[in-house]
Amino acid sequence: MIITNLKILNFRNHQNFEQTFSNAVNLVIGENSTGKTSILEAIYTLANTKSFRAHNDERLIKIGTDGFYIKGFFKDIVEHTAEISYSYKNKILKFDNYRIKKIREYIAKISIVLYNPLHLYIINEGPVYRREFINIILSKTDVEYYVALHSYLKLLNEKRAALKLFKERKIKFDVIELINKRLSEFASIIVFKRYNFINYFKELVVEKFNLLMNRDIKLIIEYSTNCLNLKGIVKDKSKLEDFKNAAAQKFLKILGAEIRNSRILLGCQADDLTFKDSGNIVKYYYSQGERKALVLALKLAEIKYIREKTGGYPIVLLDDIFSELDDKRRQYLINELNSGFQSIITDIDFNEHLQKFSNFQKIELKKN
Amino acid sequence: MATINTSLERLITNLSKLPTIGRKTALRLAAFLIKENNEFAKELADSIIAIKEKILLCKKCGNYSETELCNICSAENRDSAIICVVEEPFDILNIEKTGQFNGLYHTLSGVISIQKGVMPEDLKIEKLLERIKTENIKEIIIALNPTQEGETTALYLKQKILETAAKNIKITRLATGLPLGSIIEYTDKDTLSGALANRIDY
Ligand SMILES: [Zn+2]
Repeated sequence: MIITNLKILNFRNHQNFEQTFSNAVNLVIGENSTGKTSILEAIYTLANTKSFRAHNDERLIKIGTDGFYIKGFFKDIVEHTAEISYSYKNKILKFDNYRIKKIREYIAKISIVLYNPLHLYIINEGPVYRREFINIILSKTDVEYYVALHSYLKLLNEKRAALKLFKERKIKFDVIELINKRLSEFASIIVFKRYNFINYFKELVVEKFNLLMNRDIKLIIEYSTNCLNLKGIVKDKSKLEDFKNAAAQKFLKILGAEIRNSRILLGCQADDLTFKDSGNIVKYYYSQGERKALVLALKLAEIKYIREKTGGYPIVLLDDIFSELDDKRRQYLINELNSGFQSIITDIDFNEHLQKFSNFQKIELKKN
Repeated sequence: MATINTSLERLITNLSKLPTIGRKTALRLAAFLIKENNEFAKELADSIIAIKEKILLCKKCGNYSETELCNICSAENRDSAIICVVEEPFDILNIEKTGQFNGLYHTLSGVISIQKGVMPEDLKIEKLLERIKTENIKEIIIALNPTQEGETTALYLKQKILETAAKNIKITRLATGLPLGSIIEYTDKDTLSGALANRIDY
């Protein structure tokens, strides 16, 4: 999929911006605060219905205005349009001019991969960033996952409320047990899909990371969950039924302790990934540069995964990436980006690295 | 700010208490009523008073009714061995529109929602179990909205029916052609017909 044209109204610092894109490399050049990242953010918001760096949609609105509007023209086999408008806390999504009310009917429409320096959080910070990384890839390639995740989060709130009410003796045990059982079912679907995804995805990451680093690294990516004993499912790890039974048992077993403590002790809201190299935790073992290369490898693996899963390339958005890489890794990235998909790359100037691209469109932003 | 006439303000305030009516729409409705002739206003006011005086909930199934038993419960040609369980009386109207169902109904008056404080005992579940015990019921169709709360309630119902009632009762659900989260009230006639005709064992 490619984006051919983008229109933005009152989004971040853009009042009225329009731009066409080529189907290969697009270089967005501009000094700081010319709104480079906001252009990528607009495309990201259009694809994922929310931003990657603002938890509150209000913050995306240009100061002094009532709301923002983004429209993109896309092309895969045929042409599509997507629109998102937001004002007075009301968000409206349209695809091919039809209003879409359910995010699950929209989320998989536009496929993108974004690299932003903030993504270093995936390695450096808490598990929430790693889960978000998995959640976005899986939600956009597997609608069942998106539905299970949202059902799970709703039921998690029901269970929290139930534990509180039980303390006040305002709810019967059979109702808590029922909520817990339903929760375990969605947890097992999520864990099953995450487990299978990571098993497959880690090979892609190792492949891309070794190419980037130009050596043979024994990188290990481990998925962990407290919902069930993954090692215990010896029979057949490809059977959802086994995950369901294992999770149901564990959820039921721990419910008594949860009631005594009035808090939730189990669930895939605590899942995590661990990156290891020769037994060492990457977060402490790798230099800053190596960690950045690993994040880039995750993103390159994501491109490949989406390509394999959906049959088409995603739109690749790279925010300020070249300043962060050494020469060899830069050259490898340029080769990858020349391999036939669309990319939109931001940088502060048209430096010697960018001049190595053979086929590109240059878009220059000026301070206004 | 100029004050509006108090009788107009009273109407606007009352209209905006109606669901989905904001102040802007209330103003527009009030302006419309002022323009219309007196007969229309009288007819509208009378019809509102009439539903408050005449419409009750059917003693048996919870449907809207002007008599103690609604016209479905008192009809002779309905199949009294099948009960279709719904959330609200409005759902009955929509299922009736399909013309696909000839059994009886049971309205729960809501669904279980822990966060909103709606527990099973707040719903007409005991009453349903009572009906299953005393009437000769062969099939229960669960036609709750496919929301999280609806799904929790459906599972609760299933457990209770199997616990308390005869084991050989058949429990079915609408076919999953209904998109998850869609409200039965808003689902079109054909989709609902199909979901009913192709109902599945639960
Ligand atoms: Zn009735």
